[in-house]
Amino acid sequence: MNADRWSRIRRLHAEASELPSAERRAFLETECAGDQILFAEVWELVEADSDDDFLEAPEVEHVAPGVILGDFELLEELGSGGTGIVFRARQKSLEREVAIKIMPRHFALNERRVARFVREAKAAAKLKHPGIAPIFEVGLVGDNHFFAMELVAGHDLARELELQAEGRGLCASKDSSVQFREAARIVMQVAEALDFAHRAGVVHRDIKPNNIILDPEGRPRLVDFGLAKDESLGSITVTDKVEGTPYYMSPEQARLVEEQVDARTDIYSLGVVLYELLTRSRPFDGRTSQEVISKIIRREPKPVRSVVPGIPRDLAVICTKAMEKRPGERYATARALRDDLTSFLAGEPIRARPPGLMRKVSRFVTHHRVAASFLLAAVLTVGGISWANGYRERLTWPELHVDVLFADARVDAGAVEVNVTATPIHVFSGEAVGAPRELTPSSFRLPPGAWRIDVSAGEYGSSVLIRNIELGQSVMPLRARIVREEELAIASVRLEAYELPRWGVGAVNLEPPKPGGRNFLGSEGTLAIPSFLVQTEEMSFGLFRRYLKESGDPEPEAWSSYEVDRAGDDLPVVLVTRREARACAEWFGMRLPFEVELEYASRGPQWSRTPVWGEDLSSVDLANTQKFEDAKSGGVYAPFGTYLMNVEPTDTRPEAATPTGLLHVLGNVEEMTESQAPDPRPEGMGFTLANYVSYGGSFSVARFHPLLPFISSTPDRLHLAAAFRGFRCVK
Amino acid sequence: MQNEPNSARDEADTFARAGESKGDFFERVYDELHGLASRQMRSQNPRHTLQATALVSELFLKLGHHDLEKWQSRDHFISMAASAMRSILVDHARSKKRQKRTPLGGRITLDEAATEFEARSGDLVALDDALVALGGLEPGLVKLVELRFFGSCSMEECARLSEKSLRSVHRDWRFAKNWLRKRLDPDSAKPASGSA
Repeated sequence: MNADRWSRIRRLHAEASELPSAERRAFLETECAGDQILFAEVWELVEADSDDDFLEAPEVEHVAPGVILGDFELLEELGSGGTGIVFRARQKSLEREVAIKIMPRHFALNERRVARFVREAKAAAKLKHPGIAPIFEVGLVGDNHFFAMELVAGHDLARELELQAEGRGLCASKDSSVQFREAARIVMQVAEALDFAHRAGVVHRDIKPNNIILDPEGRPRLVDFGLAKDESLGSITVTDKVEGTPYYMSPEQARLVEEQVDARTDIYSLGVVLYELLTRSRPFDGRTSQEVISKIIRREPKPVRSVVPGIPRDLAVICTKAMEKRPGERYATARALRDDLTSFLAGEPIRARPPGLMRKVSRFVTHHRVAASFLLAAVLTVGGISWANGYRERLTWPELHVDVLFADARVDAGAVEVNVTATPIHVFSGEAVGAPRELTPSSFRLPPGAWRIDVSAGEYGSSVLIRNIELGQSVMPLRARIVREEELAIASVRLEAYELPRWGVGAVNLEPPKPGGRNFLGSEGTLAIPSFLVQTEEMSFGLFRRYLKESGDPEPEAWSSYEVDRAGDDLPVVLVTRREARACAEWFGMRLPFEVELEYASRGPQWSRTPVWGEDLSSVDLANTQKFEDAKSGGVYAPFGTYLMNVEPTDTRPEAATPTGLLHVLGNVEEMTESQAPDPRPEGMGFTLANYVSYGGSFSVARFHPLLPFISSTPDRLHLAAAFRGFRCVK
Repeated sequence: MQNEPNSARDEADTFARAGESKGDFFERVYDELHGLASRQMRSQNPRHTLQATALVSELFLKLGHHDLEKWQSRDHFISMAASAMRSILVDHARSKKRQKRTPLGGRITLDEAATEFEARSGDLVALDDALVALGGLEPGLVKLVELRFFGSCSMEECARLSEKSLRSVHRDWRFAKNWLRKRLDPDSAKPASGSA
């Protein structure tokens, strides 16, 4: 069809569609003036017009003004956040206006969350205090869980701060001393309400300006005990997601030390509110939540009097005391905070004392020395979980359960003495960074971080499990299968122990490290790589299927989404997550390697920059990979199809083996490691626990030159299983 | 849901922000994709979360895990993701047809997601064929269908992404739908009397 005709069709269609339907035909007959074909074409299109839902996105049903939830009619959205949407609503039976908070829809999918929501609302409903907005009702209509609370006229403290910045606001004054007294008065009244809640066993946990509403008389009301923890109901929840509002989070919340989160957490957050009311700035600010959290944990806030010199000294002392990093050094109760503020307002001496010089020194030392980087890394990881789930669940150190199996069925498991030790290790190199701990074989807890768990059964053999302990899981089951070295099912070769200069580690991609240079493992000394066994070939589908059959473990999750049965037993296994790969390696009595081990295996002891061995790719059909690129830009790229097209059986290409006989260390498929990626972050935060390194390239993704060893990292929390990534085992 | 993606749509800055760590960037991309995928899901059935997640994993694979930083802007990203969504769903529908048998167990998540789409488009393979044909006539209309149908973009977004007026996007959309409707179901459009 020529362009001219096409544009005529387009124009006629548009014009006809604008007309009432009865006039369209006549219009087209006139316009087409005898060109029957043109008329037919346009008329068919116009006739096809319909209001059906063909290609139309589904209406997302959501709550909006006008919607009726049982006794309540929603009138106006007041605000929304991570924990729900708040509406002004009319309660029909009592003819009054209320505020309704509706749980976000996707939370309703999780029964535990729903149960928690209901429990929290009930806990808060028990609180009757003039400083706390009462909860009237907890309900469920359709999929909407909600609670109705008093509609407090006025605006919240966050808005008040905005207004004050413009010189307005309920409690604004041109006289700064009046302003400071007003701040003290508001915080004093909130402290009084908090004290009441604390005595009733309810901790708010989310004190922030948005949750403090000033009524028209300027009296503060606390709202949203939606995240509260009722101690009499048992502990249920932790905090809002990190991304929400980290500014008011206490250090113990930031560090996820759940055991320490109690009434004093509220006191800290209220201290931050006081700080902000006094200085109109936040004690800890940053571009990202992580940055803010990092500062909450590690930094001392700038003293209020150095931000605004006119602030009364006593008020500054009160603020500092409320915001102490350690809960034990804060006011013990909200009542004590209230009393000091009352004394200040009455012009009487306060009880809190400013920290002395020694305290100042010790505070400096503590907060700068703490292994904050690892705590922080844990926060970040959990932040990831929280981001995925919307909420963090209760966070404790998981309890490890070790189940010891013997490959040799004749072994009487009960009669064998098994020793379990756990050693903290460097997340990249795997070398020990602390002393091993003896552990009882049944169950134990370890702090977050990377650990090497050695399960030794003397003459029967031993097994090594590498785990990254994260918060947020209550039990971590471990399965150690003891296989004698001479009975390993996996063909392996032994590499000799090697002392690798530290500057040489991670000699990857474009920037080769130089002697005397420095990288993230340092520049001095050597890294000892003990002698180890390494699987000659990449783990094959055949061996993996054998592991599944022997163990009864479920198939990798991703397999069900691809035609994995089209992959023969001789191809390298892919589409497995790290967890699934580990389970397979450990079933065979082995483990996944660290990056340095694979680098050593592919470069040899000379640690040559360009491997003199490895994949000889001269014969790889690069046309295929080019085809892949073309296909991709054309929009018909099937990842698993590309795999089947380009990847070869694990035992091929012997001419490209390393001198020790390893195949495909660099090519065929990328290989998973236990090494976590160095990730340069601001403030020297070091490693993000979530990024794991893969080694080598894949023939199905030929984007990088596959002759060079390279590492790439993938965020593990996405739990992606990829069609270009497999693994091999070591022991 | 309160976090309507539209509200975040206004940022026109570079998609990968300067100084942003890879981890943060991934989180954002994941969020975006999840939003995109779950907007397709009609009801509140819990399985839809799974479907959306399955789609996101696919999208990640399709978009390529190495070149995320390449996207110039969020708009560019949305447009790429909409195309990727099309090819995932169509590839899936095609391979299902080829197999002519019940697919393996858990593949159902993607199946269900495809079914969600097919409820509004009919056979996805036929739709794809029709889109290829339409692309030969006016590629811009195909892009519009990708954005609107596979990417669940609002008309306003489509207008911005295609740099056209809202009015002309409405016109294009109506035409594209009618054209595809006729093409996909020739019987529904009655032959005009008196036509050759």
